[in-house]
Amino acid sequence: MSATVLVVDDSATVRQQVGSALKLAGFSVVEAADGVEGKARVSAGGVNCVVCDVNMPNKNGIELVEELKKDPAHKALPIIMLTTEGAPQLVQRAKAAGASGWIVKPFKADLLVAAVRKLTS
Amino acid sequence: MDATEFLTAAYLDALSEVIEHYTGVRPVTTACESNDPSGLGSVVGFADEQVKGSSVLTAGAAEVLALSPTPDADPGDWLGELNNQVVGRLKNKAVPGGLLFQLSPPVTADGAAVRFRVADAVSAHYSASWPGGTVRALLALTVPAGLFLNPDDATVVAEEGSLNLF
Repeated sequence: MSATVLVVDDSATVRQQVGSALKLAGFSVVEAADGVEGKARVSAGGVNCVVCDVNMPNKNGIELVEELKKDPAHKALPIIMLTTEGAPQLVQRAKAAGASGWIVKPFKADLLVAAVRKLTS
Repeated sequence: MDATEFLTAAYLDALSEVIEHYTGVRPVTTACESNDPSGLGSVVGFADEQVKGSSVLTAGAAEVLALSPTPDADPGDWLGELNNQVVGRLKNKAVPGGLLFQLSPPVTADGAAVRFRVADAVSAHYSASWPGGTVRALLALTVPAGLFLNPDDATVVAEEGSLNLF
């Protein structure tokens, strides 16, 4: 059974692009438009990996990581940040919060797929 | 280096890099007096303790879709994301200069003839052209007089397209 990846980004086009790359690689994909929706979707169950933007309205990506990782149920959930941000301070904050990786947009589909495959294997 | 010169050069590099990523062609960027109205416009603001600014991109839907890797993208949404990526690259280029910008979420407008004006900042209009079309840009900056940046080459910023697994 293929792993289910949650794509969280406020841009519908980015969600579409990431989703297409992952579906082509055999993953199931669900979407959320911000951190609030993302948290609700994870809490609903069935998500094996999260690919998440950083700058989003309502709840940003790092806040989402911090909140999810407070819950022991999500301690092992892989979360990859997919963002335009590259500043080392932000990368370190995400790492400290429990994120699994960091990809700077625009993303290369093969790298993204390889990362998700590695983290869900 | 003068901060306004540094940021303007970084912005034009960022704009060119984003267009080149999605088209494979480095666009020709030219300064303009003003920009003709277009059907779509996107605004992304950025600010840190010293410097504030806005990036405005305008283009027709066809040009925006020419920059999309998926043919059925929503042109307004995609123009907003392109602007987000341009300003994101600007932010990353400014980090070694000691500026850590916060970005606003993209705001997009669409209409018959969308034109943007700047009220209270130094601004400049540009066009970025490649064989598939032209995107117009407006960069507005508020920079303290006499601000100079000395980029620290030792500052490591994650590169666009890079993957870092922790």
